Amino acid sequence: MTLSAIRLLAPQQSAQSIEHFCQTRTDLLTPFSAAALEFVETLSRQLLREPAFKAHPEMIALGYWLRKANISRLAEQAAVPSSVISHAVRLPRGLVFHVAPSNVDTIFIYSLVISLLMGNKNLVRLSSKSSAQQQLILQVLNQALTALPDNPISQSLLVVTYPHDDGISRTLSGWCDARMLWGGDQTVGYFSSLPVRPTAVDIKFANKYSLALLSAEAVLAADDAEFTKLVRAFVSDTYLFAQQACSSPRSVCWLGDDNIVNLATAKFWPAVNSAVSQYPHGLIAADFMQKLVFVAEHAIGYQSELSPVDSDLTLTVLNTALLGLIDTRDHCGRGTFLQAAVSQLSELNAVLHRGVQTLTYFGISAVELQQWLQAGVPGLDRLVPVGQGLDFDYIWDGVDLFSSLSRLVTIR
Amino acid sequence: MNNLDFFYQQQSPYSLAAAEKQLALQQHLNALDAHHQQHCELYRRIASSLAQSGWFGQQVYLPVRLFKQFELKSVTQDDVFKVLTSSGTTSQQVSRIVLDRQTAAHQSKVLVKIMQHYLGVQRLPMLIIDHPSVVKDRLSFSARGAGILGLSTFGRDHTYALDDDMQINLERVQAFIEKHQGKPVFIFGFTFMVWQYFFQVLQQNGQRLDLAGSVLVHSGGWKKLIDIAVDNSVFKQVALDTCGIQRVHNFYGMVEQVGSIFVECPHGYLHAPDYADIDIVDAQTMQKMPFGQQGLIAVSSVLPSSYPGHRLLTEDLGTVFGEDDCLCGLNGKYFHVHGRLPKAEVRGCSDTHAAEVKS
Repeated sequence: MTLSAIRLLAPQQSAQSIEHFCQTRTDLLTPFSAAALEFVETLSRQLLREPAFKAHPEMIALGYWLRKANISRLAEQAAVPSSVISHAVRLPRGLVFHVAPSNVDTIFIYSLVISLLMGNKNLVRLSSKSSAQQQLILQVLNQALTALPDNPISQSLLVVTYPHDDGISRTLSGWCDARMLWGGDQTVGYFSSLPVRPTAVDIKFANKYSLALLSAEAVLAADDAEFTKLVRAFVSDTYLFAQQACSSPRSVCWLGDDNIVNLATAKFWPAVNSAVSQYPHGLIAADFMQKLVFVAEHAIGYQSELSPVDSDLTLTVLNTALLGLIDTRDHCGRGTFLQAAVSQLSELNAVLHRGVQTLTYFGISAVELQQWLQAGVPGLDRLVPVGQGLDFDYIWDGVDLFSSLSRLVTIR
Repeated sequence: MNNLDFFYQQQSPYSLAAAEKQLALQQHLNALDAHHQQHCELYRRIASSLAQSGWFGQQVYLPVRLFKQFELKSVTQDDVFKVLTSSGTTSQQVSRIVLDRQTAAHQSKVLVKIMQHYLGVQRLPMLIIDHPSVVKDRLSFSARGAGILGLSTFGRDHTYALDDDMQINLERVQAFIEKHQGKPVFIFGFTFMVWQYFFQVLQQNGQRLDLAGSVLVHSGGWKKLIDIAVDNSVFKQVALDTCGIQRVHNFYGMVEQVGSIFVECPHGYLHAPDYADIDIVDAQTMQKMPFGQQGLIAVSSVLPSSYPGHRLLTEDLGTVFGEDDCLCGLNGKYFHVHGRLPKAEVRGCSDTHAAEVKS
């Protein structure tokens, strides 16, 4: 076993060896410790103050999420229920090994922060492919650590990278009490094959697919202000990470009868098209090529037809039968929407499965959605209004991260 | 189906002037559109999806990558004569190009017409800048092996310049030169191989070979050479300095359109023959671009009737400089290839691990 290939990224210096860090449990903090709260607050301030992040809306969103008020709200939600509090105490699990995705640049920070708030020690493995985004994240973590030289949190966090190495991944997996696997199915599958301790838990976030559900009637009825807001919200859900975040809708399901749906799409897509042309989507020639290939693949697979929204490939809409609405295998993202219509919610059940994560909705009441879910739906992890697709929630993919990253000790 | 007599009857493969060529070519390609719609269900689905797109001036260009993912054919299994395969540079998947006898025959005939334009009708002694094992295992040969075999029909006394360890066999090469002293010789190799294992080695060792009067034909892409800052003019200069070769013809072709290749003229431009055409496309709008602008290369060919490869969108970047007015005097559009389309950044919840496992 050689750990010498591991490179430390944050803190900039550490007095203890990785092995010592991973094996020691005597220095665990407690849930919502003052040290963790101070660190999170500092992190938030750095993110919101640093001009370098202004161009990265996802970093700003992270900064807001980490603000004191939001964390206090989360602490309330995460609190042990009063019916249990008399006979249970929440404690950290121990060492959490986080395998961060190479590309979604901020999402693992949310789970890392929750883990820190729970009092765990955290070993984070970043991709060996360095990116500008990764550098920014490290910069802000290191700034916060440096700003708090006496905060014991620096003993609870180690961010590292190493080239792909079975031996190292196996050793680190064998030391942790919880393993947080972000990334595609392949990464999750690979790490799952490396054993953790019998007492440890795996929390896996595999590939997921998301869609939008729009009420055709509501889209038609929306006044100018409401409609403009909807379009803007839809675009930011879908174009921020080039529609490649798991929770970016890749399909649009219209609710309504055919005539109304036709009118609604004729109102909706031209407005999206003009909003997209103003949006810094960053798509390049290779992205458009990818889209052309997908249009052909989907036509072959489902006999879908390209909707002539505009000849510009920045926005691509494919009309498909319901069966072709969710294409988890080939969908290329990059502003490509599969579109179908249903006349009632339950029809959608036919194409939902456990790989479908977020449904963003517009014009459908919470009561209607509740009723639909309560009758049993074979997929979906979260339903949020259009515009909140990319927001993080402590319950992610159906997992309550506060409870998964802590343990309850009972006393009777 | 697919009678190419009109094209074969021309004096040379570069006879047709723009107006006449476009008329004949478009008529022929339109007939192929209808033919493939009728005989290839997958092509029909794609064409139907794109019917109202307005892309490519209302024509359907298939991205070449599709031939890696699907078997696109317009003949029944009984009529399949052979299947060409090629390894792509971007993935392990290979293109599968289904040929019937007619398409295969057209490919050979057109390749002959084009090569004879540069080599003459006599078969020339042929020096191959590669090692002989590249064509030995006929069951599993590479695209390189297939290319060498294809071009070998234009030469005789085939002599391989390299040994299996990629070292030049100077003795063999010298013997070949002496044997054919004073006669024109045909040299063929893949661009990178010719540079790396032949010219560069000769240059480093200060060796000179007397291959004056020979014709060097090479193909296979410039990517590796561009990375080490070798362009066409450097390549030609070193060909002259080390071997005295004055006639160098690069050519641009692909397994998806074998036969109607684009050969470089003495002025350094690749030329579309009568059988084929080239257009430059703006990826964002999928519209054809005017001469002089850089974009994606789209190629058309009148040859493919057994598979829907008559209009293809490549992943190469190029610029067309004009039509019928190249200083070399040949008709047809003339152009440069700049290399592969730069890859897109992968974002979103994808794999940290996948890329690393592969390497």
